[in-house]
Amino acid sequence: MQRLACRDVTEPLHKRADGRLPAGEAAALDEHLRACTGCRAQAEQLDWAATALQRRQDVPRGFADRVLQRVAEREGATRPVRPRPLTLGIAWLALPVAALILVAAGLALRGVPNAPPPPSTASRAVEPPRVQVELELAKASARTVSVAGDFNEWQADGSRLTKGRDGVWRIRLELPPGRYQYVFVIDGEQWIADPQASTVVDSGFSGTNSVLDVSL
Amino acid sequence: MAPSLPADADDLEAIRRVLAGQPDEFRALVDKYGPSIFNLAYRMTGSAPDAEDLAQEAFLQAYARLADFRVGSRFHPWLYTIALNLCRNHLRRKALVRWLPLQPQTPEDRPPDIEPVDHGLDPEQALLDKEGDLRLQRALQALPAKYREVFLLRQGQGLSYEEIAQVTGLPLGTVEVRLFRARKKLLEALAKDGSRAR
Repeated sequence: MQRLACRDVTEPLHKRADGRLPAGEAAALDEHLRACTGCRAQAEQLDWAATALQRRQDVPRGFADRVLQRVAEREGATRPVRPRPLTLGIAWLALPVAALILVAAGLALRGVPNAPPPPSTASRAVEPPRVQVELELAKASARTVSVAGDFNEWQADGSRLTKGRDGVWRIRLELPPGRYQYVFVIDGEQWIADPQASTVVDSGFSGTNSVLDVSL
Repeated sequence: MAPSLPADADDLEAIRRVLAGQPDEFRALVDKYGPSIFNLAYRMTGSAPDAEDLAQEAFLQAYARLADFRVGSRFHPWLYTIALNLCRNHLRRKALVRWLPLQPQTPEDRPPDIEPVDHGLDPEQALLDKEGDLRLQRALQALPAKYREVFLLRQGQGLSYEEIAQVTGLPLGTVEVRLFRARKKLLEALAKDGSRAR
């Protein structure tokens, strides 16, 4: 049987912890572990961590009741209205609309059909000016595309894009001026940075976040 | 390693009933998968209150999107995907808060709250479990989130490599590499923690 050096033990230890160590390699590893206190300690640490992880924390009492309560509330709530499809073919559109908001609010007060209800006086007084931004992603094969970012609490399905006839997905957002990070979420699973974004930053996970600078 | 959860016809039956207008049937899925989802969130975030919020939200999102669930696929990897994305979002938000220059640094720079749940065992064993759990949580929180998530899905939830690839959206090879690195980093974190404790 071939004797293993410490540097050769890392991978067998990993396989052993994973339950994938072939029987033929187990004997050599065991022999090394019997003789080497350092590597044996590592093996014991991995075993200990595996055991400790299996000791599950109890779900807080009443958890299922609280979930079902929220489900019931959701059932009773009005369904949110989907945003209307976009027809503009402009890749990036940033328009200062502070004045337009005031005009829209004025029109709504006069009862224009389909106009959104006017905000309360208090909220209108503190609402910052917003800028329209259009994001787009050419991904004809996607079933769904959403954008998750600082502006929607990183909800994976918070802001869905609409697919145009040209196969390009688009969404128009109205955001207060500021710097936002965001990613596109493809089919609810795959998170990708915006290939058109001029700035990206490390997401801290497996990829990058796009950066969107919004200014008046 | 925890056994992989079986594909269960009961899941599909519960889903069918919910979609047929019996929302209370969703309880069967919450009861069955609540512990797994809560524990995944707890180990990802290190905080029991955050884990409960995230687990609740995961089930709510699953409920809202149940009509999109593809019959024939397995429910629990789909649910894990939702829960994991919520955990990732949560951690991203926490990281962003830490980057804000005008925020007070000390409270946010501390590791997340670690609040092990009391199992009601005999006091000596409970103390040992609690100390062990705290040590494990410290080591897990020392791992980058991208390594922590694959390690927890494999070692804590017993998912196969293929299931982990499906849940995380990563290629199989990347899953394997990250698991290897996760164990290496976990050992380093445990060694560091042990030397600090002495």
